[in-house]
Amino acid sequence: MKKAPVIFLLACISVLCSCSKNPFSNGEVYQYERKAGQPFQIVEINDNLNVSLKHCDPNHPAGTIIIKIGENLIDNIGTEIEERLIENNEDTLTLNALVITNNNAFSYLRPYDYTREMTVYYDSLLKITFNSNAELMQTDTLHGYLLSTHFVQDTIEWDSLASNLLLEVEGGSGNFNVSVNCYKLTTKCIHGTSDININGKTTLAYTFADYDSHGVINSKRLDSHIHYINTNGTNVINAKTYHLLDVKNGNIGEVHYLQYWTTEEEHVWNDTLLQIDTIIKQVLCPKVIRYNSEYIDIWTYNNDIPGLVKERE
Amino acid sequence: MTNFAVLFEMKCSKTHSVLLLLTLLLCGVVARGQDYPWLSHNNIMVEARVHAGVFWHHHFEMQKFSARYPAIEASIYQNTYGKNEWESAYNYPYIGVTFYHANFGFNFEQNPAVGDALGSVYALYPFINYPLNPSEQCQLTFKLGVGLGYLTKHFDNLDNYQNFSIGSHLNAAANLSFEYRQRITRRFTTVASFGLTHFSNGSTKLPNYGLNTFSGAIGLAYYLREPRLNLTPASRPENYPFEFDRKKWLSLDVDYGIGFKNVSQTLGGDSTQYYRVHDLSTYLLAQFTPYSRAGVGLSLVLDLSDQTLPGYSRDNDNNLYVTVIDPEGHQETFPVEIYQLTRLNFNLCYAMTMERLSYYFEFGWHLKYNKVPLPKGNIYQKVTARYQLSDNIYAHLGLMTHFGRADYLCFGLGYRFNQKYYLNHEKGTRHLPPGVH
Repeated sequence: MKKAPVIFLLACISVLCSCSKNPFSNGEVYQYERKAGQPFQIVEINDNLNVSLKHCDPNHPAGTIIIKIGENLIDNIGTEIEERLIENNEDTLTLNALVITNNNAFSYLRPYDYTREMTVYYDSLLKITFNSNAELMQTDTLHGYLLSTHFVQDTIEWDSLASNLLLEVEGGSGNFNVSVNCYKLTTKCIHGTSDININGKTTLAYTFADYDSHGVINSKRLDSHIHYINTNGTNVINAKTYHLLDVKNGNIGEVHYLQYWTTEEEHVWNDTLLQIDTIIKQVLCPKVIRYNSEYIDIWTYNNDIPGLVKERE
Repeated sequence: MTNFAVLFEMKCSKTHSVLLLLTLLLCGVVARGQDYPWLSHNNIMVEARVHAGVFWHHHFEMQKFSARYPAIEASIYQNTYGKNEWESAYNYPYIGVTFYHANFGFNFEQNPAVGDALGSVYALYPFINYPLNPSEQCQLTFKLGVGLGYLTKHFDNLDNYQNFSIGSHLNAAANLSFEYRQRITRRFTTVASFGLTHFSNGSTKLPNYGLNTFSGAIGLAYYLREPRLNLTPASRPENYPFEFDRKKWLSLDVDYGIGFKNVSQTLGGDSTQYYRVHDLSTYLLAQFTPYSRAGVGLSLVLDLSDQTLPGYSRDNDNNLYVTVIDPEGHQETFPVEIYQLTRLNFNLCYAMTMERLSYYFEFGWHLKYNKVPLPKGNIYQKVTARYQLSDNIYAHLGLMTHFGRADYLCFGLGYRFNQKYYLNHEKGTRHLPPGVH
């Protein structure tokens, strides 16, 4: 019986050593460069790598991936290209996805605070899927992917060449920070506690938050013409839109929108409807608000509906 | 955190540990100075430990709060000596109560997000510690403790939404650990341990994914009086019917339990509203060894909070509907009555008995008998602690889980129908006096 502790210890060590994906130390940090091999239109970010998305340039062609990480961990960093099916109206398209993973296991054996950064150079993106506990950073504006011809580009007043962008947060607790410039932006938050920060501009914004979505979706700095929000989440969604804010709120979460006049006096002060309309356009606030299928009078509304909050910038 | 603050925290932590050890040793000195017969009669020991722990987040999102942290623990307990028969059968286990404290914010990686989201914990739990070998000098033991824990931070949908492991301040605290105990003098014992500590409110208030920590610890234990010799099994007292009396027993247990769930933080609704969970269970068990029984069970569970799950809706007349999407993507909505939310369960059950107290471990399946979906999967596990109030009546406290995720906590009363039985080859001898075959 005296051998029991030794046997127990040996069993634990053998289990730990049996897997090649469990380095005991991170190793020296180096910078590594990889090529994706094929063009991709989708980026899927998993696990816990801090990822920066950058538009390609002459020095860094599309598909270049720069990884800064410990030498013992690099072998288990995955940057694979996989095919994904995307439904577009009646069609189904097959597109390439860059799937980013960190398969290093037993992280509790190593220092938790270590360098794990990746920069991905892309040409154009249709979709970003995020399931990570680290951060997605972006230093320039996302270039969307021209997917559809169902609208005429000349009618869009934005300066974008892009059409659609789909941001999907499947889980995780990281920070999702993107800047966009596109015609239609769809943001889905399915699960997790990630904070989603979206900047830039779009014509149509669709935001969905599911029941297990607990993070903040902050699109306070996303200028949109029309913003549809369908939320069953528990946290705050910030919105800023020109014309229509349409909210369906099925849970205890709140939708905050920017409003510049909050009293009738201010409304009277802006004497004519024409003047008001002009000023509205200047300051960006919704002309029409529909909340759970009911229209809200934006002039008299005084934060008396739970879940809908008017804010001043 | 500044360097000064870190040093201050470290000093505080060390000071706490030293104070704790001194207090426990002082207990021993004070106790020695006076005559407390119960101390010497009952083999009372005190113990202090210092832990180094890591989180084991079984939910991906919580891995953001991975950190190493220190913890302290103080225990007072009895080293049993064979007063009851089961004590000698289990190698004279240690029974007592532990106070545990960990400041998750003081982590060695200096990750302030951990402290901001998880805070710290104070727990008090009774335990039983089973020696796995009979040696008195060096023992490998297994400690099982369940009690209450107070966590200073919990989920808030606006302010602390990243901590969805813990939904309320008050939680159950459970500890499972392996220990190595080496006696260094007749009264001093050193202890090294490695184990799991779990905090969860049993889903009485959602969200509740639970907080798990693994920790290694070292400590020192001290007998307040000279340890007494163990009694031999021959000097055991009379058996009670709920103990094994060398006869074959078949029992039919029927019990009812009630639990409460608050889903307001995740699914909305009134924050003071608790949905009831009704659990009617029956078990058919046979005695296999002196302290273990096994068998099968059936139960009916009505969890009224199911009606708040996604997929359920009510119309203007307050009729309940459920929407089901089949694997092919076809959607169907149909009306349901509340009673149709009842789940029929079948389980395999194993029971471990220690005098009046017993633990029941169930592994079961939800049997689908109507179209209402099973949102938590088909398979469940349940752990129940029972206490025999009389020969037939017992109180119970049970925790239903789905692979580590607590579903509900229920408590109630039950009645046991005992039936003595004999195997065919025993029938001819059952009325013979002892020793005659």
